Amino acid sequence: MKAARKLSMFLTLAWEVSPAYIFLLLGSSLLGGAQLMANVVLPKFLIDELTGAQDPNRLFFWTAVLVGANWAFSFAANALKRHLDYRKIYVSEMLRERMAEKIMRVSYACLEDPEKLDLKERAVFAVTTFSALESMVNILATLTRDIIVVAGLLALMAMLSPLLVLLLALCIGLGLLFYGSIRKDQRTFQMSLIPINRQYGYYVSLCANGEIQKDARLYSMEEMMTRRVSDYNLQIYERSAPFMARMSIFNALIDAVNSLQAAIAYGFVGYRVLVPGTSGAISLGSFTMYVSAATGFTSSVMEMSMSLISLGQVLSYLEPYMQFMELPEEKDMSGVPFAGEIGEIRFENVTFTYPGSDKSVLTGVSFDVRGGEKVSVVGLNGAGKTTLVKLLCRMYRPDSGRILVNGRDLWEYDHASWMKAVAAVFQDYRLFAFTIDENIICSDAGGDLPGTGEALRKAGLEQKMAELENGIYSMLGKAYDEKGVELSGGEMQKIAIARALYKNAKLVILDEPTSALDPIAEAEIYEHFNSLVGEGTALYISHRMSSSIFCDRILVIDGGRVADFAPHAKLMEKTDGLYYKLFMSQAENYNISGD
Amino acid sequence: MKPSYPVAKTLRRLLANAASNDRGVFFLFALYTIGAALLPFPPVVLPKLVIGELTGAARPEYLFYIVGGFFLVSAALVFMKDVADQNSYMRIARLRIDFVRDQFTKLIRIDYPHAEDDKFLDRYEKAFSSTRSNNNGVEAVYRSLFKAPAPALTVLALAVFIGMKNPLILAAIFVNIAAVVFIGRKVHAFRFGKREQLGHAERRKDYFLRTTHDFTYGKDIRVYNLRERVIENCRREIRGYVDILSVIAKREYLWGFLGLATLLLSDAATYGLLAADVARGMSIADFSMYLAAAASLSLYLKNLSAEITTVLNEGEYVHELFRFLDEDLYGPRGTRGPVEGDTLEIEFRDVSFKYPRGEKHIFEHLNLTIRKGERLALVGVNGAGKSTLVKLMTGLFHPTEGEIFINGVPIGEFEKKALYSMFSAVFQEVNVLAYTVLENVSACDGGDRARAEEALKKAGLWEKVCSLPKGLDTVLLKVIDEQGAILSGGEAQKLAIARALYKDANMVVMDEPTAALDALAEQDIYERFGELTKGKTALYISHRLASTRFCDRIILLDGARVAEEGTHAELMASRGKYCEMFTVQGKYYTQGAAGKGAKA
Repeated sequence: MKAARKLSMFLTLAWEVSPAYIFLLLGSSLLGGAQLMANVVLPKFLIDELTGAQDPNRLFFWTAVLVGANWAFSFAANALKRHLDYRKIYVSEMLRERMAEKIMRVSYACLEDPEKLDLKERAVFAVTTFSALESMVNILATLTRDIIVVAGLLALMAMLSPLLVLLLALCIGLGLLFYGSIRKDQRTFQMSLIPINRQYGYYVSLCANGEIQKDARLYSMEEMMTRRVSDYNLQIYERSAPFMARMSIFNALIDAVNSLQAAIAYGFVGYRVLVPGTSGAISLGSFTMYVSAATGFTSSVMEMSMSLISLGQVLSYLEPYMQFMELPEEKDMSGVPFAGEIGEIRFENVTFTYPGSDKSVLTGVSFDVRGGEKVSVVGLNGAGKTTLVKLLCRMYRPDSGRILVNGRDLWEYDHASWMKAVAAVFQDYRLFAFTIDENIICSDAGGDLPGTGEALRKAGLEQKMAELENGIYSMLGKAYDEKGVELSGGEMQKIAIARALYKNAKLVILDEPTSALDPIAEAEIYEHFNSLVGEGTALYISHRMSSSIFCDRILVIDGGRVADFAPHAKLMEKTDGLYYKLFMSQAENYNISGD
Repeated sequence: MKPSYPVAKTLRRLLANAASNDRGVFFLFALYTIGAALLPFPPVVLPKLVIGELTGAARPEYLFYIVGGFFLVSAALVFMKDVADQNSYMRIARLRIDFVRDQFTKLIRIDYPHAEDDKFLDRYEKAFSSTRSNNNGVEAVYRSLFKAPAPALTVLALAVFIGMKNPLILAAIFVNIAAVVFIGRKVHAFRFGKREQLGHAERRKDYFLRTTHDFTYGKDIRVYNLRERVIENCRREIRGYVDILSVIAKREYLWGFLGLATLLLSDAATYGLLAADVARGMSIADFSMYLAAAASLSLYLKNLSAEITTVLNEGEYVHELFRFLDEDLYGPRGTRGPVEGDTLEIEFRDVSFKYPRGEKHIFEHLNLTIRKGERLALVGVNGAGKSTLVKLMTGLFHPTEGEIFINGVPIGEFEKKALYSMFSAVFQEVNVLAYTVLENVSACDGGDRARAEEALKKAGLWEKVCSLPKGLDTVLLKVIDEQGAILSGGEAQKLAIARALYKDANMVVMDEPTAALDALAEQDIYERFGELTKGKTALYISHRLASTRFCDRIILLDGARVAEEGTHAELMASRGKYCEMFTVQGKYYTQGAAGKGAKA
């Protein structure tokens, strides 16, 4: 992505987030520039008076102007700072929020794409580790001020002598040459360090990773892990030290060039005082002014150039962020509104391969489910069961074939209305740090209390809610608020189930919903499955073969194809079938000296 | 305004650390200090010399000598300063990352209960933040210590110089800087007072940013239409956080007026008094020089005070770091070595246990013996304490009351490492680390390849490992190596089993190891259970009761104690809770196996 484009994206985003900030930034730059200019020009008058008539009134006047002007600028800067500092942080944080919004709007396929995951990680890394967004803002501020100062001082010096400007420009050119030489070196170096830093970050973060602590101790992994961290320490140092040594020479050369500029300024203007040129003699006051202008000019130009280079650098850090912000969003998903009951769901020869993968997960899958039917989906890990769910939730489109609901292609329906009709409990479900009540109600503001209570009862949480101090208004989890309640894995799963039930959806999908529940709780869900789901259509995925018993039919998926689709009794007759094997391997364990 | 921590002690320790790890940095420090301390003087003297020449003898050649000399001296000094400065960066950074390693080493060895305490990391947050970046904490203090003496020398020289000319100017400048420092401390204190509020707001804001950046929340957000709600909450938290910052900014603004007043005083004094001196006969050259000196003095005083403030402020975090490193967090420990050449018998005698932050007891007067060589199944509802039992038995947690004996020896007598070495444990959450397969299995550098191969074969993962591009040396996960291998849930579980097999410890513990596996993979694991436990005491935990059938004895935990115990047959006959659970879980299977559906 071109730098200009990245910059304009950044500015557009910042403007959207806080126009006031852009104005404040411009204002403070103008102010800074004006103050610098004032300090170049005003002393001239004081010095001219001091070397001239020395009239006490005029001396007092010019001193007062000089001191007063500086004071006024400082006052204004103080006032602006009051707003600028925290707004800068506001803009940074909001730009992160924008990224969060983007993540929620991109087409779902991006979220399961390892490339996009990596892009996001790199974007987040740049923003948090390099404070890329804040640097960006700082650089723009400095740059704007420098541009103003350079323009002003250039005009001033041109009045004295274009030759001076030329001489200084040569100096600046020399300085930039040195700077340019190290720049490529620096970029290569920093780029090479990024993956190492990420890996280093991974290994170091292991010590704070709660999940691995048991294993780390029981398997005495601490030496292996510590040594890895030490190795990386050494690696980072050994890579960096020679680079820093080179940098130091170049920085010294650049600073030496600065001294050269000061020498040239004094020398040239001083010579003009001694040997007046065609424009006449220069007073000592003017001497001071031009020398200040010259030194101010050179330092501002150097600063400006370095800001431009830093700008380029930070923009390259922000590249992943910008790329991510340009990802395609879920397209306009309007269509025919879905309403009423589900009469039939039909898969017609559906084939699907995950983007970036070479083998298809589903091949020529065809089956149809009648409205109100409860279907169990079984198969080995990786057979494609969860993929069916994702296709039904419109997270992916089939590569070929169609999915029809009530005779119409699923993708012709209006997205929002279809999502209203579906409720799912995924294997890796997620709950938020809202109140339990809000977690269940989701989008409806001020939900239907009896409905919430009913959903919780069906999920088996009535008693637990009664035990909690704030009942259903308890905040879930302590990550957000210390006063939140921590529930066990099984209780969380029940809340996820309650959330699905509350929705009163036409299609309920449950993917391993009882994995964390104990047998009694699990049995309760089974027993009441019909009343839980009601009249709606249901899809139930589980490794617990026992769950298939209470479903109307069982869809057996093997290697991405439909192996069977029939009621339990029928499937049990095929003693060489996959279903029979799966079922009996679990059932055997319950048949010894049991009932 | 006195610092609330022992500043001198902290700084001494930091310096001692530098001295013992990197002598070279002190040489660089000397070079830097000379260069940087002298560097301000040529620009102060230059105007005087030039203007002196211009208003005096007015010889162009002398002008060029002066200017040329200035350039050479400045260039030499700046070279000294810059070379020393830049080369010190990496050395100082290295000192910091060595502290990171020390933190790491400690965290991975401290007593386990701290790892489950989510307040623990919070409590030491300041310590951890001190080593997190180049711009704060340890590195900031080192850099400031490196850079501060130079301006201190410059300030001293300039102060004497100006003071000899006119002490009032000196006084005015110092008053101004004193005000700036005072304001800085006041604002810092105000901000410090708000830190809990700020920390709170920051945590809430970061919660939303973190979860929304986590792709795994994507499905639920879409299916349950949570987008708007989450966005609104996120924005609200950001606003809340920024509002507190705004309050702090306002306070700083108000205090700023004091600074403005003293600035006025200082500037007026400088210009006014010097102008008056010229009117009384001082040369304009001297005027320029003293003006330049006054400006330099202000600047370098500001620099100096900034460096000192940094040292004082950031030093506090460094102190916290030292406190963390010094604190004994290793818990109770003994000296006895591991049991050799024999398997284990574990006895819980009257053990009661409650998690440090828990409300109710997990165990109350628990009495239980795991006999030598037996295969024991531990069952119970969620929250009954099955996993807790394992943590107590392996010494990860410590009983609140009562004692645990291993082969008759109280658990506390064993050395920690010895204790841990006696158990081969497989837990439900498998942790595949971004190391090679060999390292994951052997849990050390330079593991025994033949032994690892054997373990992987027994675990049923060898074929998969052979199919990987580098076999045993393939790095797992993609975070370190883009070509790294990802294992499926079942394969990861087998890796954990291989690790346990490789260790070949005195006793085997398996805690819910098949929860995420399909029926055939699960059966596979059950069958290998025999391999794993040959001749050793084994503890198997699951709430899938089917797994209990290949155990010698079963224990049901309920109500903080052992509710039932016996063989499967005995428990079924006694028609207690175990029987109820088993029947319930098996009901559908027995029905189904008979070819009946639940639906008529």
